[in-house]
Amino acid sequence: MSAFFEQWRIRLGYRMTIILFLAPAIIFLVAFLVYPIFMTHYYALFEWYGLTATRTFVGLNNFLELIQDPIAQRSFVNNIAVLASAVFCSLPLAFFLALLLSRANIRFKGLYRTSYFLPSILPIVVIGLVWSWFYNPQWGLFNQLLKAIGLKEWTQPWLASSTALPAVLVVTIWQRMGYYIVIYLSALASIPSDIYDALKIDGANLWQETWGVLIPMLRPTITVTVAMAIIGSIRYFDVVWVMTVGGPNHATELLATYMFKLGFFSYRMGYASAIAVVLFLLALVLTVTQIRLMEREIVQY
Amino acid sequence: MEKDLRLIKAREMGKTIVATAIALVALVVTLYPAVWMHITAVRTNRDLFRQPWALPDQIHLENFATAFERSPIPVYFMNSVIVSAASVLLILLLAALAAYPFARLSFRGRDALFYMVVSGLMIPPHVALIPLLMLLNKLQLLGTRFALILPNVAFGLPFAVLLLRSFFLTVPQDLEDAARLDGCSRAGVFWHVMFPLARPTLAVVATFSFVGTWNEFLFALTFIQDRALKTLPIGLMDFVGEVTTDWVLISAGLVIATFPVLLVYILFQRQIIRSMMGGALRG
Repeated sequence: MSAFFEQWRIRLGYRMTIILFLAPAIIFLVAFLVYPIFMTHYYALFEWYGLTATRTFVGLNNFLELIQDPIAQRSFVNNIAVLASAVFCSLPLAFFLALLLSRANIRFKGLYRTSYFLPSILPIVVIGLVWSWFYNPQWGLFNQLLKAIGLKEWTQPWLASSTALPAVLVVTIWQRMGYYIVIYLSALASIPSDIYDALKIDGANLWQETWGVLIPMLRPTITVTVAMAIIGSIRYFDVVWVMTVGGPNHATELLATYMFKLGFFSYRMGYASAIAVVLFLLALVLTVTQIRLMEREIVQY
Repeated sequence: MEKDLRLIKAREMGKTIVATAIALVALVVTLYPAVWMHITAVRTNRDLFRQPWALPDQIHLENFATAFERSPIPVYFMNSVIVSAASVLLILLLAALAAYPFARLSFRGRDALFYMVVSGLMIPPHVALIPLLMLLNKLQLLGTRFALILPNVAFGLPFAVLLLRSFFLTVPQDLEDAARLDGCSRAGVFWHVMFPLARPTLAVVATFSFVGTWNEFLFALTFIQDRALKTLPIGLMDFVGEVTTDWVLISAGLVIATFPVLLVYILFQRQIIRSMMGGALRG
């Protein structure tokens, strides 16, 4: 009988230990992450202005309005542009530079790697402000350069005209490239050295080497980075907020900046929550797709 | 024969030069904004507007003193220090505690719970923003530093748990068994064996969490209106709005805001880059 109790005590103790270890983190996550996500979905069903005003249940009206909202459509298209710039500019550039650093006979490789990664850790305010100054119409770097090489007619108020979106995209490409360089570098480093030796003996040129051997071998890594770039693109906010606040006239508006403006400038909390739900669903669908893709890769290799 | 060899050597040399040139161009492009900011921070406004893209005539280090004396930057700096320190310490402690059972103890639903925690990585913070505001308001924490610390911790935990769990998985079972035989409880094993062993990984987690919370923008923008409690990112935005033309002073402020992350990056870059890889591929 006492052995029975003893066993119970041990099992109970084991349970208690696990609970005590996990509880603090789980409480934080439930209170400040899980519960807010649920509440966003709930709020999205209401017409609701500001913190104190009463809420009116409107069902899915916010979502119906969202589909027809030209600014929301514009934001969505801009998000796609951010996504495309990441996938078709940041990633290829990063891959190229990683290839260069790992394959070419360059000295001080560590220095290059450290420098390329630097934009990833700089405060967003710093990135946004310094680049805004580069784009300054009167004496910004770009207009001064154009004047210096005799192309005065090309000078622009870069962030205040139709060039605003491309100008911001350049910054997003610049900001995110280094992160992917580091990922590609270590993937390239993980390729066994005898494969490189074999390539050398075969006398394959760099082009054949890259397309025929390295890219197929790095497919899992490339898949992961594409997925990361896509998921990162839907939550893009800070740089745009510092540089243009989504302007001029919504030219650089993103789903996240539009959501913030609706919630905290127009106090349309319910409608803003509907956009938040869209952000959540996009993140969810893309993440699940990523996991599926990765599982397929693992089966293949 | 000898001629061929020389030709090959020359070609190799040419390749190296071209590759180095491209790498150098990329280096200049990535570093230039930060370098320009540092240069601007130590010149005079007059000098800046006369030749913004040239080197300054004279170096004025006293600009940093001016930025500290004539602006609210020291207040913002202290707030950033307090919020980041508290967030990082909480993330380290809670993540290590949670990662231990996820890696070393078996219980029903363990893996499902772990994947739920890690799926927090994919949540854009905007999704939680309005409900967080309501919740913090109800808890009467809005307009206090807790309004930044608590969400920072919640959004920082998934990555920290992921990293620490993969470390705990690598610790040999013998070490744990030996400690258990010596009469250590589970908590004792964690505290005396696991936690000290995890020090390098904890350093990495601390570095990542620090860079993340120091640069944190969205929560700071939304939850803090009181000037006395603002952190550097939003404080600097306000500052820019107030002294729009004094770019030198603003640059000095930006340099001050960048200094801590730059320092941490230079000290820990090897660990950051190594672990980023591991985390990204496994995650």
